[in-house]
Amino acid sequence: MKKLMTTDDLARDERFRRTPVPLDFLMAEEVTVEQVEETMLMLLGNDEMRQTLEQQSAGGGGPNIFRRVRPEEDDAPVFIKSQMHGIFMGEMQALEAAGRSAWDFTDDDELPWKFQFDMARQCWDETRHVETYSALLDHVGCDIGEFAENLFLFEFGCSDDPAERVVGVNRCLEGLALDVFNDTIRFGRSADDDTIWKSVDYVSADEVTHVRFGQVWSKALTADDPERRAKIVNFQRKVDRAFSLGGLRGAYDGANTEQFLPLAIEFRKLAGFTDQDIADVAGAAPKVKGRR
Amino acid sequence: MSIMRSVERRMTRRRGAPYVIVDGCIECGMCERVCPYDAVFMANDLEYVVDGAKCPGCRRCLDPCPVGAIVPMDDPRATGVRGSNRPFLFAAWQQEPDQPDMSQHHPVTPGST
Repeated sequence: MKKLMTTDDLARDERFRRTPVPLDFLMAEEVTVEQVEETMLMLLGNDEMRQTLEQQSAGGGGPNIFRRVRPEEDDAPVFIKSQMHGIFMGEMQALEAAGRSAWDFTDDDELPWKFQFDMARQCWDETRHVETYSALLDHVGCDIGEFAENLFLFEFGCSDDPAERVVGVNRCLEGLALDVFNDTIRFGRSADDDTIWKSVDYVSADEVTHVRFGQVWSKALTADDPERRAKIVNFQRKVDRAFSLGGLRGAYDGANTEQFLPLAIEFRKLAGFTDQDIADVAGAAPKVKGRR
Repeated sequence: MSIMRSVERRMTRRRGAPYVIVDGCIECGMCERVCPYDAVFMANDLEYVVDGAKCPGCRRCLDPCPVGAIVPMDDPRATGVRGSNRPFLFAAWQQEPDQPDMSQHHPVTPGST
């Protein structure tokens, strides 16, 4: 059976659409507001969202994609659909990435059996998450393919080093999921939509475990190898920067209620993040020039 | 299994085809900027190359390349790999002998699982 699955090999039917991310943006040390807006529209947007943002733009001040969207706002329906669709695609890629991690290292005698066990457990969880978010897409009235899929999450989980793999997939991809879920729960609660917030809350409990897998295994597998550890930390820094989405993600303050997608500090601490780990993620974001 | 044997297996079986840079590269450096695995670098201050031992074949560099000069090692165009990249080819990489034909994806349909 094939070991590596590249993004071209991922099974998608005709409903799915893909879009690349402008790459300068994800890895840059400094980005402009315009780059961030353009990229986020490409990542998250569809025609409906573009029209909404253009209308906001016409009111002066440009489209404010940095703000937290509230249920009572006119554009809330399209934003929650976009968010659900993004999460659904993320769950698909997390399932595929965890499946790879469970299978790719079966011949590695250096790895304890517990590693495969944890990855298999994650696969089991992710399949349920895909089902859950498929139902939540129906709940918010969104069809698969209404927004484009981008594959950068999966691309950061392709390393053939298991320690680097769990950093990409578990610590960073699933860590980003915690932040998004935290945001979605907050939206569901303020919308008084029990289906959204309770479903996402259930899923979050699994995600905390998955992130913990990344924290624990990346450290355990490199504990006696400082050189390998340094390489992993360097990679981790890059992925943290990429997943900061161009510094879009608010002030990285868990108490922040105004900006988009701040770090879910409580969830991350449950997953084993130390204050230093959280500061590392917060500090990885690029500088955003011209932020309003 | 010895550690060396284990490492060899890891290096040859857990990755897709490493990428190489072929003739036509304009040295824009985009591939270096987007590679999360530090696999692309400039050799001798002249030309970008891909270190095949580091490249896991994630294909992240493929779309950004404006001239299509970075290709996987198992692509027919890889025969045009330029001289500066040759010392960094990952000769140990090989395809799994029992890889299925992935050109026909199984459609995912609701309720099919």
